[in-house]
Amino acid sequence: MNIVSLPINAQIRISTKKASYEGLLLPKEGDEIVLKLKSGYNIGLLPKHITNAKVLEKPKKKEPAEKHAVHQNESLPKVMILHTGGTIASKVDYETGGVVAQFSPDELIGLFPELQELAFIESELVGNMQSDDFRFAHFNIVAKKIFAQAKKGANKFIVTSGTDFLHYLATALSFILSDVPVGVLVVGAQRSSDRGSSDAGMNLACATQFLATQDFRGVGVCMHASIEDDACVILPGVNVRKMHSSRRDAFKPINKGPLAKVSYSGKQVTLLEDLAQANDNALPRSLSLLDEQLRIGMVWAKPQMFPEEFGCYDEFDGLVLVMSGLGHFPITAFDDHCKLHGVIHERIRHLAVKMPVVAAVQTIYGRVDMDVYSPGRALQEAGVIGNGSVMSPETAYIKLAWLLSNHEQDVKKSFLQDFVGEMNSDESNLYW
Amino acid sequence: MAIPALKQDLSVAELKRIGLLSGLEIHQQLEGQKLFCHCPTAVRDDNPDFLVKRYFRALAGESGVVDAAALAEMKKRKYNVYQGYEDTTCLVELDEEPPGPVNQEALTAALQVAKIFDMEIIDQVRFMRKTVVDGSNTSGFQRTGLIAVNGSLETPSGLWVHVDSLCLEEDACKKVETKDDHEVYNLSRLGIPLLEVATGPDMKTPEAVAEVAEHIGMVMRSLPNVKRGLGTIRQDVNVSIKKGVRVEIKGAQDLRMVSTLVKYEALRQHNLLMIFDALEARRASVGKVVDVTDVFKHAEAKVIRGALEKQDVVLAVPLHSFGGLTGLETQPGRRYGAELSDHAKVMGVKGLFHADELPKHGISQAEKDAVFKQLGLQDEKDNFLLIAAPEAVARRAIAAAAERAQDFSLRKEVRMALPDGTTSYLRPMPGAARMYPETDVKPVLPDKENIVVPALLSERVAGLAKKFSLDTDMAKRLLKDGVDLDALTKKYTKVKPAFIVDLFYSVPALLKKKHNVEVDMSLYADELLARIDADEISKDAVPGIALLLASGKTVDYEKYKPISEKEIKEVIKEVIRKDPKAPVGALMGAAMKELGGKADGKLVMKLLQELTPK
Repeated sequence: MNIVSLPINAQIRISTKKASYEGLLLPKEGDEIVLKLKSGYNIGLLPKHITNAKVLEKPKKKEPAEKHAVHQNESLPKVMILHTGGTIASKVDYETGGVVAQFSPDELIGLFPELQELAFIESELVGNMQSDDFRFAHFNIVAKKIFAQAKKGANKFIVTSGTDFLHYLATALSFILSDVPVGVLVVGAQRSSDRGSSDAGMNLACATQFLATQDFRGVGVCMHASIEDDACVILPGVNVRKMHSSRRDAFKPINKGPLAKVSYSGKQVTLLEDLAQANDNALPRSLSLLDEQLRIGMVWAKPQMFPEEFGCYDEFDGLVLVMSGLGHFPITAFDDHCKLHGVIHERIRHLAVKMPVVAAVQTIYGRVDMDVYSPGRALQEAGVIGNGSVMSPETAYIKLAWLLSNHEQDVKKSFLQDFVGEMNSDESNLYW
Repeated sequence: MAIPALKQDLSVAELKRIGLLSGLEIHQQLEGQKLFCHCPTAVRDDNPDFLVKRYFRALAGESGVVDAAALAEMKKRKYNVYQGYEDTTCLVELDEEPPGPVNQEALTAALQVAKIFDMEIIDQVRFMRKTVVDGSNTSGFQRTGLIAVNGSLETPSGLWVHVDSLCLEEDACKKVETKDDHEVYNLSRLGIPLLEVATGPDMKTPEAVAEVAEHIGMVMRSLPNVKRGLGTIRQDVNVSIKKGVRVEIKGAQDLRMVSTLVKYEALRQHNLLMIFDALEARRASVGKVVDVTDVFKHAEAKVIRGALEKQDVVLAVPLHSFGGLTGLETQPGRRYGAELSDHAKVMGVKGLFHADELPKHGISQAEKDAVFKQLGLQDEKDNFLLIAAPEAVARRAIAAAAERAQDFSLRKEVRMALPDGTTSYLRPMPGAARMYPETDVKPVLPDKENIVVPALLSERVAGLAKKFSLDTDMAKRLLKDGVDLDALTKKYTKVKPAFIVDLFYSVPALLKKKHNVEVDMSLYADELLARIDADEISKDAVPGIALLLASGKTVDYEKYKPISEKEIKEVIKEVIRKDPKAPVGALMGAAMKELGGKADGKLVMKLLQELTPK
């Protein structure tokens, strides 16, 4: 029985010794033939159990769905949605069970009908990737798209993204667009939009509502405030972090509070911070893109470290040390067991001569303070910079990349300078 | 106008003639952990520790077109509130974390059922997401997997039925209450493993359906990890007659109801077909909705007066040539009018009136006449439906009832069982289930080779009854209560099986009757049996000791130590000496009282008979 030659998406009948199954043949996965039965269930059958297979109906050509133009209200503020990927805008094909991405304004409004009541929606597909594949080139592509639209007068943007590296994207856009007077909200979904319980619609609606009603300039993130469908928070684009692998409220601001809260049911925006003044006469000036060839390392302090862990960075452009406590590394030869720590100290000193080596703390919350204990002082003496930083490791990483790309001569001087709010902290309002 | 002669009941022969066919879908809850997380399967109704509010999205239609109905639905902004508990709810039920791997005990139970019903087990089970729109699943779908197909079963009386499919799926949340703008659900039931067994439409009599349902229930209860008690097994029946359509009935409260449901549904379809024939013959038709509020300006009827005080409206729709039909009973106590009223109720009204039932409920003949007049209808020949409610609701509701009235055909639908065995309309039969793969759960390769099938409950009952000469009911009772007579007789070899049975049932019954004390003998049985086995107490002391134990008192077992035959003889002699003329019964009573339960009654009687002067 040559099962392999059966055409995918054909209606077939497969017989085994005891039963026969009719359904749609789906692409093979592993050893099993996968069949979608008329009842809707998928089953896997082992070829060795199959005694007979017959094509009942050849694969049907899929008719493109009839498009219905949506009549949008032109008097509403324009919001441009740029899609980079993730499951925020996808729909199930119930025939095959596959999930298809949707991007045109009509399709987006088809998925999220309430958006058309909040704004005039325009949209563009920038990419369709998982966020954990992001490279600096992708951040530049998104920024260039926004810049091109800004030059045509657009100033309210939503960038949709997978959530794993969403905070890197938001941070990169914060720096790259620092000279472009637009408001950008990066929005993701923790539950994909194919399910009735998806958070995608509420996150998008709250982001749209915020952009449509506020003169926001800068980059933010809009996600659920709690696990309830009650309100979304607008978080600053820098020092924001995915702090849970699955909850709807996974994103938290680090060392500061949210900018605003948007209630879902009443569509009310409550500002929690003063927003940057918008100047509608400001013209887009220029992008300060990331150098796509940059190589920046990140090393996490831990017990039982080896000097070899610094072995591959000699040709790198920069390094982020994600340090313990206030900003320490295992560099003290406390006893015979710690002999290697002296070598680690030397490695850091060696690298800090060749490139900027910057400090961040693995406590995530709190300030780098390398003045308090001797390892911190020794590291400063070795050339590690960033004492006093309140940046998350990811923000420090992107900021270092941006400084190396745009202010290479001044990295050491500029690292602690505030560009887009990354050095502002509100310690009294710790939000964690 | 001829009125068709409807049936009030259908005999077996008539059911056969109209071609009754019925199938079953049985859902059995399993005990242990939930299907995709480690939370316990206890269904709770105590006060929740927390509430979570969620909105559900109407999913876009297949074509991606803006769905006006979906948008309208979302504009109503109905939401759901889920009740959870700190100790028995996790992020999986809250839809805040992907599901874990499938519960292996539940899968094992499914495979056992598959083997019992001689089914083909699927090589690779792929869990699916079945779209659920009512909010009873926090995810918006129910996880379900097809485990086996194409089996059969045979009942003890020899009925042979196809078992088409066996699925393993998640139970849904329990609905706690419905409010104007939201529904409240409890999360404790969500995710409990459910076995769903579906038979073919093979049963031709109501009794056969009940017999098969009972048999499947017995098979389920043979598994070691099924839940017991009210609501743990649910029977849905599918019913059709030859000229009718397939109707699914949910919510059968217990097995005894199943055959009545089937018969009444066959009756409903048969009678409705006769009404539809009459409507066709009369060339009946449904007119346009008319506002008749003015007729009821001085209404006596409470419902209408109350409505008008709230500025509601009274709407009527003319039913041309429907005279005398809405009052006919399609099922005992359920009229054709109720069939129409059900559709209005779904739209949010409490009910409607039809002309056949008037004057009644406070509506006068004059008002009825006035409505007939305003609608241009003739009494007797024509008919109307009447609804009093806020205008938007009233219009929606009367339109739904009118729409059903002008369709002279049976519809595939889901109906709800009512306590008397009749049914009411619930919703249209869903189309092919909207299912897509549950990509968060890896496909499962069931181990088909090592399935150990437990002995069926029926076989175990028969075996136990035979071995210990018990009647079947007692054997069933022991199995149901988990009293392992076999093990107990092996452990306590000196104690007779009949006494063990008495210990569990007669002793508590006696204590209840005499002292009104509830004794859970399973708590004390081992201690009592061990002491009897070791000759530390006599059997006659058991009720007294059990009473002390149940009231939480300490027992001085020394007091109950059986005394020697010699000592008993001494006591008996003393009793006889005191009253030598007394009859044996009186002597026995006196001796037992003197011995205070320390001696076995039979032995005392034997010695008494020996010692009584002949």
